[in-house]
Amino acid sequence: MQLQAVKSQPPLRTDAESQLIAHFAALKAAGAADMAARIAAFGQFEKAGLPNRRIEAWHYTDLRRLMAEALNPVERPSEATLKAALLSKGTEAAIKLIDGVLAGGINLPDGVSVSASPLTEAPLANSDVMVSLNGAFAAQSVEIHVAAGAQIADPIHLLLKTPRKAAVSTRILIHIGAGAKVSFFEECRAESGQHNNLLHFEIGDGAEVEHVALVANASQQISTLTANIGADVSFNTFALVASGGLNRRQTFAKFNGENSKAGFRGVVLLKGQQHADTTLEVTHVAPHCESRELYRHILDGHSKGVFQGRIVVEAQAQKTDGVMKSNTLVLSDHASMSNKPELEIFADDVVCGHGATVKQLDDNELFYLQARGLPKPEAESLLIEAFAVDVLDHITDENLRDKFHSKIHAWLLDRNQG
Amino acid sequence: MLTVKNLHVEIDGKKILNGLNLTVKSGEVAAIMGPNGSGKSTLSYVIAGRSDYEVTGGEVWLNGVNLLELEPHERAAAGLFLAFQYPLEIPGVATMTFLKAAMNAQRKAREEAPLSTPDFMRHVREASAKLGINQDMLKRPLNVGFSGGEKKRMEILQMALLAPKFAILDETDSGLDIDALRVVAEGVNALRAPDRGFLVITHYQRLLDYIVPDTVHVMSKGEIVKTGGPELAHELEKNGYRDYTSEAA
Repeated sequence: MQLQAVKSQPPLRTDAESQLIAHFAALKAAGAADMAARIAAFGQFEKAGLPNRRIEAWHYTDLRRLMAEALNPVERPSEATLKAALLSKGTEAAIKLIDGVLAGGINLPDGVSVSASPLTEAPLANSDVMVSLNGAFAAQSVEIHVAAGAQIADPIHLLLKTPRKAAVSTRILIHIGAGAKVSFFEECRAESGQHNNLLHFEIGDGAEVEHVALVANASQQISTLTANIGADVSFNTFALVASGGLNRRQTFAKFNGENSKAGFRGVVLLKGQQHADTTLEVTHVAPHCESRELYRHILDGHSKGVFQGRIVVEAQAQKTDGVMKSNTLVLSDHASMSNKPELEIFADDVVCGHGATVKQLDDNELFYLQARGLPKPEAESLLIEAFAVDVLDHITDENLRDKFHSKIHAWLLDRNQG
Repeated sequence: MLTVKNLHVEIDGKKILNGLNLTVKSGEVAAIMGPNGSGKSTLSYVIAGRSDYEVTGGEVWLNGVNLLELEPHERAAAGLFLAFQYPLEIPGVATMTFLKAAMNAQRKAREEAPLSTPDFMRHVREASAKLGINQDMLKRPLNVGFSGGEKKRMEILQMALLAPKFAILDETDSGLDIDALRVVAEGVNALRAPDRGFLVITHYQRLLDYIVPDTVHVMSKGEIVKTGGPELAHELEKNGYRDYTSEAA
């Protein structure tokens, strides 16, 4: 019945959309130096509304339907809160944000700096409505610079803390100079709220960059990762989604220079009513580049997983080598997975392939393990872990790899106890 | 030790075991021989607790424990071991992780303390050396890329480490060349003990030249149709199963 009402009155706003319009009006009234950029971004949302199933890229994650309300934008944290966040006893290099506002850097190595700037247009994916909303509401643009040639040995912890239940838009632009080597460990710590994050990598020629993200909170989170990749670059990004009510990670990456290699990987663990969407668009503009996409979804309960992966090879991007894989393990009769791998190839001399599989635990393997004395839950855990962990082998930092291992372990223990 | 009484088993409504009776005493090595389709592998799977078979009647006892009431892992903890005809390849599960998990799960079920890592390593090193299993094999995922012979040796290694009270070897000779057969048989013979029983299931007499049984049973159409000593195996090798299949038909 509701559907009919929508059909007869197309411009009707959902509650969440009306709330977003009211929130932006309040923001506008408050005024800011970068208001022109915000108004332009918000205009895109006003035209399109929230992403919904009629927009192909959002077909399986219909925010119009899934977002019952738009929470109030978070208030700017006090200076005292921001200062307190920088008190640290450890030696770990970290950049901390509270509610999307830069608190600052801690123990940052030479060649790495961070500052907050007014908003500008998003470098990539600026027609995506959630990126537009980020461009309207983000408190600031947090800019991280890694100097050309800097060789940073240990991962830099990118900690996004959002203690309050509110709408938080975080925007981080990372500029990596030519020949630099650096890795980032992104962690979002939040119990609730609606998060719309944008993380952009601008990667100079010859740089070696790694990004690993841990998404383990119960909020609604839309994360966009964009990357402009130069020549002779090595770029690897990995995300573990270990919980979350509604989660979408969308990645837009462009190979702009020759001879670069990039890996996009992830493990998604879902249970209950959780919904997670992994959407990926990798565009080969320059020739002689290699992309690897590997995602593993493990679905329990009534959860729903989505994988949309697209490799675009433009006409001049000859000798492109692209392999995309999505493998899903379904643990429950009530869980479901939507897989949509796509290749769009305009060059004639490329090697590209994709594969998508969905399977259940193998009864024969389970029986074999049980016959050796493992109780069924333990046997299942062993097989589930085996399905997930080889993706972790791509993480170079051993401590981080262990950390992700134990997250998967904890999820499995929790599954057996619940 | 092991007593099977009047065991009836079906799969998808098809009768496979028809009132099978079998007793294996402590310290005894019993062999079951029979033509393809006689229900030999079904018997081993049912004793180990595979769930896709329906037991419609009968009992299976191991040292006073009613196995049919137990889950597969509880049967293992009660001292039962099945060496699989086709050991499973399990990608992603490291062999050592698996061995340790299995040993400690059984110890836990028996309320024993878990093995320390050095103790575990020592056990594995000693047992694997005897079976000619090199350290590279142990570093690989369980059975992945192993040859038929390597898989069977890995089964015997597991048996040696788990030290069961009763072991069923399901066509352990299938797919083995003569050298591998000898290694596997030596591994089994080394474990023969007064307090341990074996049920060796095989299609051919060849294995029984290396693992000499105390008793030989002939199985046909889901029943034991003849029982004798080791000489019965030689008789079968000479005359084939024809007598028994037609007799039961």
